Amino acid sequence: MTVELQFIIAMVLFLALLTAGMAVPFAIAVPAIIYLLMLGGLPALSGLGLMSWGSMNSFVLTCVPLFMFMAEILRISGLSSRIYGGLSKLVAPLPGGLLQTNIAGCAIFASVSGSSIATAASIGGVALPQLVSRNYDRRMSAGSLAAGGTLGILLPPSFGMIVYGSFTETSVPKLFMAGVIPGLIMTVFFMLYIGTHALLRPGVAPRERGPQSIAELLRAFADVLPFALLITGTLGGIYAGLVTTTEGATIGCLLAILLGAVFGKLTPRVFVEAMHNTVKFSGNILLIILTAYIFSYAISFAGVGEKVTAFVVGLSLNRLEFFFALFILYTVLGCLIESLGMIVITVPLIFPVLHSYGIDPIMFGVVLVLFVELGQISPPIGINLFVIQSIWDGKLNEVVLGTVPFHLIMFVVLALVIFWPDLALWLPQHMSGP
Amino acid sequence: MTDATESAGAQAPAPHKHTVPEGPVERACKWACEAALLVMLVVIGTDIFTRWALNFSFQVSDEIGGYMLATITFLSLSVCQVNDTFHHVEIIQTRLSERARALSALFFDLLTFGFAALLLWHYIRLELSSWRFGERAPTYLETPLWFPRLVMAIGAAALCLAVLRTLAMHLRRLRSSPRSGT
Repeated sequence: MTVELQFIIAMVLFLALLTAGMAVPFAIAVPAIIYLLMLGGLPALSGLGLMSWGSMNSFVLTCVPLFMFMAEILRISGLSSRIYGGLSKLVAPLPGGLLQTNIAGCAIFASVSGSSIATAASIGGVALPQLVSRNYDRRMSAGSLAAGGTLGILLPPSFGMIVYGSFTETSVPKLFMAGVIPGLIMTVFFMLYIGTHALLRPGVAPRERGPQSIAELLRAFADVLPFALLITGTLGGIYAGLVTTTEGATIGCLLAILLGAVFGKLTPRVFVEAMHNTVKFSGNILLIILTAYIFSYAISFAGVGEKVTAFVVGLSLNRLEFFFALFILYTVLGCLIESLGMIVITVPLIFPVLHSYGIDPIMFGVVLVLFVELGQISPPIGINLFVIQSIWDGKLNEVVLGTVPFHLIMFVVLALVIFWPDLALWLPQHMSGP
Repeated sequence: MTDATESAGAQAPAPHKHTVPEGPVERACKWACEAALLVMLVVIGTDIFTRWALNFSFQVSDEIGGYMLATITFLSLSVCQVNDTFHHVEIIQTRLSERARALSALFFDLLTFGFAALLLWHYIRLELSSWRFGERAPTYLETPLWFPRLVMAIGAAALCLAVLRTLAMHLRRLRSSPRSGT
């Protein structure tokens, strides 16, 4: 059996197990093991123990459970509700009202959470009941939250970038900073679209009143303040090169505990519950990473990466055509594979090709995350669609249709980053530290 | 469709979540993971503080942080398995009858058990070789590597046990589901 055929069998098995409903980490692991057995029989598995230890005894990945713990403390202590309340006073007077608050709230929560789902669920859980009761357009409400949630993996911290960075040995702090400008542009574009749409079709969003007094304005700022402190404390140190990503996550956790106790409802019982949830949720992500390393080990054992590089280079595509091919690939994959799976399966194959096209690995990290974001709101398995649908009484159809305009905006941001890589690279080039 | 309970903040349960009550093994693993999380916070937090305030580093936070991550990774496996918190793509599952879902879950559990048993075998081999050759970490602490690596074997063994428990649960589901039921 040829190496190509063995690889195709492994990929088909992976897709079959995944879509059939097997738990994602095991749907990655089982084909990887079978692939290794096809390649070299039982001796090919002999490195499994050492490879598992080497991949998970990692200080870089230590920030995954820490960022997850931080986001969980913020959610469970009620601080995410507070930020929405404060922002609804400050941002809602703009055309689009609370729809604008959805995007701003998601952008801010994204800056302390590495996950799109956490962002969509935390802000969506607070926002949707208010949007429904105030007769906001249902499609726009759901669409803005599902799309706003995707900012969770573009704005730092981002689990997608941590995983990409650990696989490719690219600087995670630089990847984080590379996501900032595209993330802010996307936030502004989302808000501009909502504002324009609300002006053209006033029925989609009632006009909201801003703060009626100085005291109310100050209260709104006070609600936003804990998050501002947290973002500064976590990302400020990373950007200044004073702390590593993991240390930044530790500072974030400690600040979140402090802020949750002072401004939120963090009691010892709630703290323990946050730890329970963190263990369950981070176990899932860490196992995906571990099994992806096994898959990657199988790919490098077979030398598939080199073959893919030779094949793609042989196609003589120019840079733009290469990105277009990636766009097609990730659009299809985004409809079939969940986000982290998409990164860990494709990166070992595509990363070696980047050098031939002179593509900066940091810029590619941002492009990859944008592709993943698109996948998160693409039917049939776009996870954010289901997160939002599961916390309201609407139909999935409404959520899907609501995200269409945001999809188009994401394409625009993607094109901007591809044509002007400096949008992603300028900030990392000006940061201190590694 | 994907399980909507991935991460912090997810509030809605997945439509076909089948959990098993946590037993003593899973509870012990969970507590160990939580202890590892706290150790991580304390060790790394202390290092940041001493570096900032005293211009001094213990130079152990990287090493201990890595060990704690390995602890969380491997000991959380059984906790995730019994609580069904691993991601699932449910696009096909939602269209199946209850019986077909139980059957597919059984099949997946068998594959998972095979993988977990394979991991256990290789992790025990690694553990024994670390012990036999007296491997030590090339760090300031010179930690004997058999000790932190122990969590891999324990975690894989706990996962095997947890998969057997979920397998038994899916077998009961299969027996109780009607042959032509939806």
